[in-house]
Amino acid sequence: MNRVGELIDETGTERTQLLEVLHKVQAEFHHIPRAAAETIEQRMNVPVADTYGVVTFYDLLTEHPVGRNVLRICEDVPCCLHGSEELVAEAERTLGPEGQPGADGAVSWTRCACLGLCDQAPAALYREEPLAPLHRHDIAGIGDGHA
Amino acid sequence: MAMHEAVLLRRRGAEQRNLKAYVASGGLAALAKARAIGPEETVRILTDSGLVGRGGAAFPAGRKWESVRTAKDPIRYVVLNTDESEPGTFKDRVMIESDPFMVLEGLLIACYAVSATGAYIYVRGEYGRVADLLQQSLRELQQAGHLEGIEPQGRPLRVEIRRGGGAYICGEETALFRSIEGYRGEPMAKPPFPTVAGLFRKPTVVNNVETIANVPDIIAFGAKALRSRGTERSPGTKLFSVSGHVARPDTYEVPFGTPLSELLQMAGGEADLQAVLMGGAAGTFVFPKDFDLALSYEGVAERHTTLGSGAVIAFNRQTNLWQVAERLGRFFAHESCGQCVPCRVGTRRQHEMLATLAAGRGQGDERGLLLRLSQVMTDASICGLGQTAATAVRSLMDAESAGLLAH
Ligand SMILES: Cc1cc2nc3c(=O)[nH]c(=O)nc-3n(C[C@H](O)[C@H](O)[C@H](O)COP(=O)(O)O)c2cc1C
Ligand code: SF4
Ligand code: FES
Repeated sequence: MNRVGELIDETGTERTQLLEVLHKVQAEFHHIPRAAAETIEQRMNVPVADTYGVVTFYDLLTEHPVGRNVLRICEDVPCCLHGSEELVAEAERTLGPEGQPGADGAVSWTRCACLGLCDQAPAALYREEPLAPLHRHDIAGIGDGHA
Repeated sequence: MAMHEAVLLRRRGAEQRNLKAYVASGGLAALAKARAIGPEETVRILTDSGLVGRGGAAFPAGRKWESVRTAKDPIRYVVLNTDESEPGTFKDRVMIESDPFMVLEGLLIACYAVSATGAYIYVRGEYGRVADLLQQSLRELQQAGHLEGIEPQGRPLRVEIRRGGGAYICGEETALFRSIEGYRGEPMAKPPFPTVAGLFRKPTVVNNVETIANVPDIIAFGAKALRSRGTERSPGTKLFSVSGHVARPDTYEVPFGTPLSELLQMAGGEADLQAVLMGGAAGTFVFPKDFDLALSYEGVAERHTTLGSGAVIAFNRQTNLWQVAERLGRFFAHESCGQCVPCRVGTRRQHEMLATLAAGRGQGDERGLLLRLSQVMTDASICGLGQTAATAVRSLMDAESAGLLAH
């Protein structure tokens, strides 16, 4: 994977840069493809198995493709007090099963831990930007491609 | 209700948030003073101020700095813990958004005081805006030459901002180091402590954002500056993240010793609150009979609770606290790194039992099992996550026995 090679070049080949490289791969490919892990093995000397050990440890990195746009809905206590459960149900209804993008690969959603936005509960991130407080119609808008 | 003067958050909402405005309002005077008096004296002032860490463990900041300052190894690091992932906690975000330069000035003073050869800012992956703001502010400092003359070999100081991967456990200092090094964030047994073998196994100061934000004023105005507020044993002010059933959820800065009831009033707490959860998921429930408690380290110890990360989550009487406990249980089961069996398995069993109780389907033996589980997790876990995963649940069971629950 040439592109992954470029990302490694601009970041660094030392082990300490692994998470940074994986963040960049995730942002472009919406998961960590096997071929990327192989390039990392060759260029950074981190075995494929080790890379996936890291990928599966961190919530922001995924083994399988997620949507090009990800909605993260917080389900911790302060957000729960402000109706996050209904929002999760709405996401399930309009965007489909958690973690799975539709056929066009545009959007997927996931539950997540406290986002540090509890003062704006119920909180979410969409495309890694705060969407808080999150309203039901925001979710419908995302489903229609308007958000 | 008393109005408290903002100290750490005094530049919150300022019209301009650039280096020029910061310097115009007295910024960077502390860094200049530190350089004039030297590392040893800088650390002494910090020690005299009585500043303790705001990340949860309340460890004296000066002691930490002094160990690294006097370490034998010439390679040392300073790490700013910006992982802020304790549920209900958002004060470090507000601190940086309000005054990124004060936090960075504190960091530069720390680096100078311990002769650090490098610094890292570990920002949780979900705080993209915070990382961008820090990066931009750092660039301004660098362009104005303020990263020069700090590093002991005379090179410009290297400050790297690293993004976390979305894992609560990486806020634990040794897990954080592993994460920066490029590994899974699995905590390591202590000792050795970070001051001896921290990041890359080198002597390391790791401090919370709020701890570091306190540094510039202490250095600029002396140890007495901190001691002019708060209590004898808890000098200074404290940031609290107040959320839940309050009209004005926000970050509040109050002097240590302020009664909890006053903080709740400031945030517009509903008149008839059932309880608050102090200190986040790893904290304890506190009921109205204790709302008069003083928010200081000694004040919370007296009532067997904790300030933890400064999270205060309020619950009205309609809230079923067993359902709240189920959420906390889910959080710990998800966030356990999995390397100790008591924590990996214990947090899952605990969550299952809490789910049963929250649904009102208890068989009667869950409470005894939860208690035994909590003992095992507390005694046999490597790190604070496993050791505190049952703290809130235990406090809830105590409250239930005392007849304090609305449901
Ligand atoms: C599970 C766990 C999570 C933690 N998360 C954080 C965190 O997000 N931010 C933080 O500053 N400290 C956190 N800590 C505490 C750190 O390990 C460390 O004590 C702290 O960063 C030291 O800084 P201080 O002395 O300035 O408080 C956490 C500890 C544990 C056990
Ligand atoms: S106590 Fe839990 S989180 Fe901490 S090291 Fe052990 S398994 Fe990991
Ligand atoms: S609990 Fe949802 S953002 Fe903190």
